[in-house]
Amino acid sequence: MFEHDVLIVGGGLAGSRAAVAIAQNEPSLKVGLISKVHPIRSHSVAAQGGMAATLKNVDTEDSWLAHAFDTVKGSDYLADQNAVEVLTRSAPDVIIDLEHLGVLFSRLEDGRIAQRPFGGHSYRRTCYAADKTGHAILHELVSNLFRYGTKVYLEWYVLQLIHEEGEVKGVVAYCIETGEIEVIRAKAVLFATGGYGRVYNTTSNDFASTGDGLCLTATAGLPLQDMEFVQFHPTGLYPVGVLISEAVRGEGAYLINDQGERFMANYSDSHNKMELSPRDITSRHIVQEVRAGRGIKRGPFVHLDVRHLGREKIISRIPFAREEGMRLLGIDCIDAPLPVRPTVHYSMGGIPTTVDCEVLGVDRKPIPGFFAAGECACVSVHGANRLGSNSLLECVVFGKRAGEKIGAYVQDRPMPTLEERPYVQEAEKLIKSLLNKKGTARIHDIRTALQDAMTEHCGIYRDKQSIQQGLQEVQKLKERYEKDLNLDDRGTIFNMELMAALELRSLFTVGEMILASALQRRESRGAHYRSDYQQRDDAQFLKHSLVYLSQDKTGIETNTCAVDLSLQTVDPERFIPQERKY
Amino acid sequence: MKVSVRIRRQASRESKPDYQTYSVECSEGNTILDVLNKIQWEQDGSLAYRRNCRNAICGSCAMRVNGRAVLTCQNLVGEELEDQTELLIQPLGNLPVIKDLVVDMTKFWNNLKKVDPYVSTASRQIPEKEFLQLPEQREKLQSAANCILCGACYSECNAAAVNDDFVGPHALAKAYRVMADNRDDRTKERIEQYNQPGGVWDCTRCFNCNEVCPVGVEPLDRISQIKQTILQQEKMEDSTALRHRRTMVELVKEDGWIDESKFGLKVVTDSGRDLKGLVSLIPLGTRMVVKGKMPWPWKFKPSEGKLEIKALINAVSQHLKDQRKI
Amino acid sequence: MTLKYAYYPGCVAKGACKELHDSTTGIARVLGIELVELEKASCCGSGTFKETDEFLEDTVNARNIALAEELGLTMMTQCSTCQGVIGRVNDKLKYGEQSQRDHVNQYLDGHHYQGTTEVKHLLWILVQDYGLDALKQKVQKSLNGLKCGAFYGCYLLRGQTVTRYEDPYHPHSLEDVFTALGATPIEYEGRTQCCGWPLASYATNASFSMAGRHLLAAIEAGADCIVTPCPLCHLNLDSRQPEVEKVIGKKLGIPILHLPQLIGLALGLNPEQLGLSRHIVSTSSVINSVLSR
Repeated sequence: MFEHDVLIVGGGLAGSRAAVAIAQNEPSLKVGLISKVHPIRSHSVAAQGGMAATLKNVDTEDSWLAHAFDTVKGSDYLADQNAVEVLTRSAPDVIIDLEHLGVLFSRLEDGRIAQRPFGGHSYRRTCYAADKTGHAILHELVSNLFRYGTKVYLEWYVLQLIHEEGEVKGVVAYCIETGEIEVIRAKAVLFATGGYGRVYNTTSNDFASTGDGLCLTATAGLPLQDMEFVQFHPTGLYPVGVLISEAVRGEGAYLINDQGERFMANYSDSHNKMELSPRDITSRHIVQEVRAGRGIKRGPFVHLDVRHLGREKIISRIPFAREEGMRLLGIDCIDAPLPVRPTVHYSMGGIPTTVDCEVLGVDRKPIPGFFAAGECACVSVHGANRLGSNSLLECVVFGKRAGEKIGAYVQDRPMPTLEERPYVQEAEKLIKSLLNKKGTARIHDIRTALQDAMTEHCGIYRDKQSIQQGLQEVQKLKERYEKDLNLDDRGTIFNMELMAALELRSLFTVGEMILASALQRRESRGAHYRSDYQQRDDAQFLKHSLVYLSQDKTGIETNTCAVDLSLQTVDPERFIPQERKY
Repeated sequence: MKVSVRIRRQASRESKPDYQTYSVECSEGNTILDVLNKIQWEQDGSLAYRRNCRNAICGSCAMRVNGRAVLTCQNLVGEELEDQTELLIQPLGNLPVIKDLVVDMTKFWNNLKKVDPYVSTASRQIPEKEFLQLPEQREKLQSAANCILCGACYSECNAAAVNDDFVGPHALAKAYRVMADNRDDRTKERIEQYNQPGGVWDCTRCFNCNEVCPVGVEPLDRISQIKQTILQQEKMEDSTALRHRRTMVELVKEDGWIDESKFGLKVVTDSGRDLKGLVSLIPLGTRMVVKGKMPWPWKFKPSEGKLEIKALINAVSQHLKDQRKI
Repeated sequence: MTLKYAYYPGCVAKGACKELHDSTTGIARVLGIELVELEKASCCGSGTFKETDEFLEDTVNARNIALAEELGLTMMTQCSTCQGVIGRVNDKLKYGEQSQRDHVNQYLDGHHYQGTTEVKHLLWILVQDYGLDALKQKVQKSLNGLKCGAFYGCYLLRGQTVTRYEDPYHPHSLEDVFTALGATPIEYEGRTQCCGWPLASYATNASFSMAGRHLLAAIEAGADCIVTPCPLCHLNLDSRQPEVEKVIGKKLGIPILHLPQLIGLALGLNPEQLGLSRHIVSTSSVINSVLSR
């Protein structure tokens, strides 16, 4: 059994930022960071557009309150306003702090950090590093992990969250290279495990984004929040689904249908902001165009056109987007438009936490020893829809905050005691059972079927019937997985199939949680659109959704909890929920 | 189209490697990673390899394709099969194999750590807001900043293949990135550090790193830039490597062509002061004389343009000196 | 046909590897290629000037190129390193901004770089300009099965990025020349890699390990000799072969030929003219195998 003062699961922006915070503030603490990929390979590295903060380097009239308002409105009023306040107030310091660490932000002529416009933001406040902002930040954070000598469990996978006697005491982990199973106990466990894009068939997310942290939490009987809110980013390159950054629209790109129209002008809620409308709105309109037969050559995509920006601007501001088009499709966006359609990009929902990153249990009280930050957490700062450039911000603000809070929290907390043998035995049993699967179904086929089912039954547009069908299909696929799965690789050395089989369990759980949550929210809000309940219904549903496995683990239960509206006292006019118009 | 894919398999660290050939239905526009995925998902789940973003940014999927390292999510089947009839896929070079195409990158990471790859601002007065960094200052760092730590350069590095102490092109590219960052305060120490054995002078200038880097870092050019900084220092402790570079310029300035015996004596023996160097040249000198290869000083003919060349080098050197003062 | 080139000899071909200059001029005569030696040229810096300063490398070599331009001729190199260095400078200035050329020309007193010529290695000249069929016609003594391993040299394959003659990892022009001369090309691992020369004066272990690996691989693949278009590679592979053997702990004894020496033998020139006695590792096995037919 290994032990640490603090165990961080996940080495992306949030996890690394937390580790660096603890190393800087409490260097005597023994920190362990466990990640199923090398931290530098985390999906954070793929983030492109930028990180919002009211530095006021370009728009001096900007303010944290304006940023908060944009965020709350963007969230379709479901974000917890106290959390949004923490997010937007902390933003400027957090960016400066990153810059002091050496992050290569793009600059204005006078050497200050540059800021650009972004969808849903009423001022130019998005700081960026060309169009590879995640890469720029993560590389400096990981360089600092090296600097501080943080212990990293490289390519280890967490099989189980140890939650007993009402507290979290550690994890059961599996070494991907050797097959070793270890219990790691810790005074505090921080989940920074990212999103779940791989639940769907078209996603910008990497292969590792399988929602493992959410599944581990749900399996421990703890609730997940706002799972129905799945962000479809409007411009995923067709057909692969990789992200073409919103920065491209920030620089002035046009969305064009088959008739050559900038179709965003034809809808009342996007007529003003056009291509810079928030993501949920833009994605829906693209799907509407395609459904109406106005996709390019009647296909399932529209065009993103930047030719009018000119060669120089494209090469200096959005070089990565250009490279993607050339590499994946042989199209140079300097000369031709790029085919795009919505792609699953971000998970607004996740593990419910306080603004201090403490995970909340079924009773809405913090669970001792358990924290969460980043995309896997639901604080909630994004509510029903996230604005671009707020996620990198969330990861760094709450990653840092988690590190600081945890650093203080573990000072007086004794190392938890636990009996490791039963956990190890159960884990061994699980691995063995998977390695012995001798059916006829390949993992890829079951996984694809699940992803297709989720995309069809719980995509951008949902209704009661489609969701219920989805739940049935998922159930059938789960049975197929249990009874008919086949593994070619029965070894325990870097067994990719075993990893895929484990991750598929996460996909099933997350999928079911999304469906169950979507079923009970009978309204349309933000990214969740019910064709059978097309209006927003604040009276009944201005609440967060909660889903969790029932006590006997056979069913899913749902509940709700209140949204924090504290900014209403600061600025009643703007923060009282209104119709969301742009 | 049907493509033949020959892959180097290895069951574990200690196992003997073997080759296995698969036939895959794919198109010219598919990436090599697409092909690997097809094999793993549809034909042989035991095939092990790393991959994550499939968008040329995470650096997971570098491996050798048709004899040299590429980022498999970036290179296309069509390009690879232009001159070859099958796809040959092997793990990255210079690193021990864990299984199939998965290598142990510990040495790669440890070497990176050796150059202190983080921006140090400890001794600076930390401003309340951001440090200023002009666009031109930032532009200098762009190539090096593109690095995704994929390992392709390290895989093909001829120097790393024979010298375990050489930190490698990835580390030196990162070294340049931090050294040249105006915010970093450890320039003096870094210059000393990268000048040591294991640093820049152990690079053999084979151009492989420049050739295989998938994201335009051009590590060899970054190494050159570090060397430029070192050579510009006035108070650098003398070494054979530094003498080599200085002597090249001096001799060309003097004679136009290089007088090889003068060169050998100056560089290797430090004009007779380095006894060990002198001794090391004796066997070479002897055999050259015996075989009639000895470039005797009296046989050396300077260039007919030597005066022009001297003037040119003097003028350029002065210009460079003036430029640096600005 | 009369081909005429501005001949850039390089430093080593006039000194420690004088046999290279002799064999190049020898085969040029037989093939009817006219060479006008650039006697006012200077050393190219062998890639090290750039480490002092890129501008130094650019100006020194722009001057070299200008000398060829003044003759209205393509510059011929006979050294992979010279080719890579001077070729790279030519590409940079020729296809770059006018301001770069202007800046360089400010320092070229009495000369003017215009970007009107090419820098081409003897190997490319033979393959492209002269033609392998024409070369074949001139063969007097077919090399009959002599097993030749090519050693290209890094700078030839990867030094230039704009002007490229072939795939740096799967080149075949040397092997094509061998075939045209009646020899048998032997491919082996390391033929496109580094000989270690750049490290030879101060990191001898690494330098000779590199040379050793590749020579051993060639021998194990069945090569009777190595043929290289670079005299610097030649120095490390031939004149340092005794040190190389010590470092890798194995006997090698494989003769290293300059490309024009191999061609010269096939064209009927005698070994003396080709300087084949001026090698550290004896070339008599090669000479005997060719002449005894």
